[in-house]
This record gives sequence, C-alpha cells and structure tokens, in this order.
Amino acid sequence: MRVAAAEENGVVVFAPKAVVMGGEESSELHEKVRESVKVRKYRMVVDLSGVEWMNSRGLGFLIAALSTASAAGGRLRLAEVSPKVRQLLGIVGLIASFEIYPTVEEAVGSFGNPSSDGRKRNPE
Amino acid sequence: MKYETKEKEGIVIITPKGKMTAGPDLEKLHDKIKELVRIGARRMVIDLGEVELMDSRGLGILVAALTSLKNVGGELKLSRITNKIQSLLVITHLSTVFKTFSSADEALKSFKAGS
Repeated sequence: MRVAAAEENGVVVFAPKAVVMGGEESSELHEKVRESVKVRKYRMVVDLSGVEWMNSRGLGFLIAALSTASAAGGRLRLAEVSPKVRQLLGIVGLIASFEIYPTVEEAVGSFGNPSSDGRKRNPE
Repeated sequence: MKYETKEKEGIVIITPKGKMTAGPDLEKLHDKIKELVRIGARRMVIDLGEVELMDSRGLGILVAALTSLKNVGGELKLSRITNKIQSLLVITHLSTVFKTFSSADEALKSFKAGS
C-alpha cells in the first residue's frame, strides 16, 4: 500500500508515501478518494507530510482526486504542504483551488461536527 | 479517445476527440504532451471542442499539461470548452487557472498579441 488511509473524527485522512509524488501512489490516491465517495465518506484530508515535491503527473492526480470529491459534493483538504509543493501550486496558479491547513489536526478540525456526512447539499 | 496535433507559427495545437476519460489513451496523450515540452514546445493550445465527455482524470491531464509548461516558463491555453467542462472547472475552483478562448484561432491570436 502506497497510500495509508485512516479515519479521524469522521474524516478520512490519506497519506501518500512518496518523497516525490508522481508514481503509482498518485493514482492510488485518486482511487482511494473514489472509493471513499462511493461509501459516502465525503470529508477527506490529504496529509502531504511525507511528500517533499511532486511532478506534473502527481499534481494531475491530486486535481483528479479534488475533482472526484467536489463533483460528489464532498470536500478534500490538504495538510502539511511542503514549501516546494506550495511553490509548485503557486507557479501553476493552483493555490486558491485547494483548502490548505498547516497540520492534519487542523484540517480534520476544520470540518466541524462529525455527525453529518459533510456533503454539500447544493454543490456549486 | 484520439487526438490530432498540429503546429502553427511555433504554437502547438492539440485537439482531443471523443471521451477524455481515465484510461491508456489519456496517459498516451499526457506522454505526448510531456514529450513535446521536452523537445522545446512552450506555447500550447488544447482545443476541447470535440471532447464529448471529460472525467476527473481528464481534468487532471489538463492540469498536468499546464504544470509541465509552467515549469519551463511556457503557457497553456484552452479553447472551445463545453458547458460541462466549464462546470467541472467551476466546482474544482479551476476556472481562473486556465485561460480559455472561444476558438483555437482566438487562442493563437492571444499568443501573438503576447497576452
């Protein structure tokens, strides 16, 4: 398994294990987000603490994951984004596309009440 | 999905046709774009008017192409995006990330005008 998944307070936390994200773990992350949406878990955090950098492929899959979550009315938030990844998001103009939190704890906490499924009833 | 590539005055125009959805064809398109960037392409238009369907992975490929180009100081523009693709861009907060044009010609013109 290249992407660890854990549940905290009703939020699924995915942690891709790759210093440079862009290999098999990036497609696995997208697959796991799909599975999560299928079982109606719409609140997700990607813990990027193990990822120093990502290439175009990795970023493409991260966007695919975001898109899958958003299209289902779910939310996917990022935590522990390294300075290099942040810089890449800046260059590509994607900083505003993601909700980024300093720590996993803060990202999980940002969802609030764990009793609802976190789905937006009226996706934009 | 099939695609056509052509070059006009140093600008590469890629026209995918059919379903831009997860699968080997989409990965081939991504490989092609990376190869074009590797051999020196810096200005690219992806013309989406003949795309019937795009899923999350198709969108991911557009962002991957944008990333490859921006990393080398290049630029990607999109043309003829359909309403469905537009909604996909809106829900993912990507609508401001791409420069979009009503036709490939308009995108070409904007490159020449330097915008």
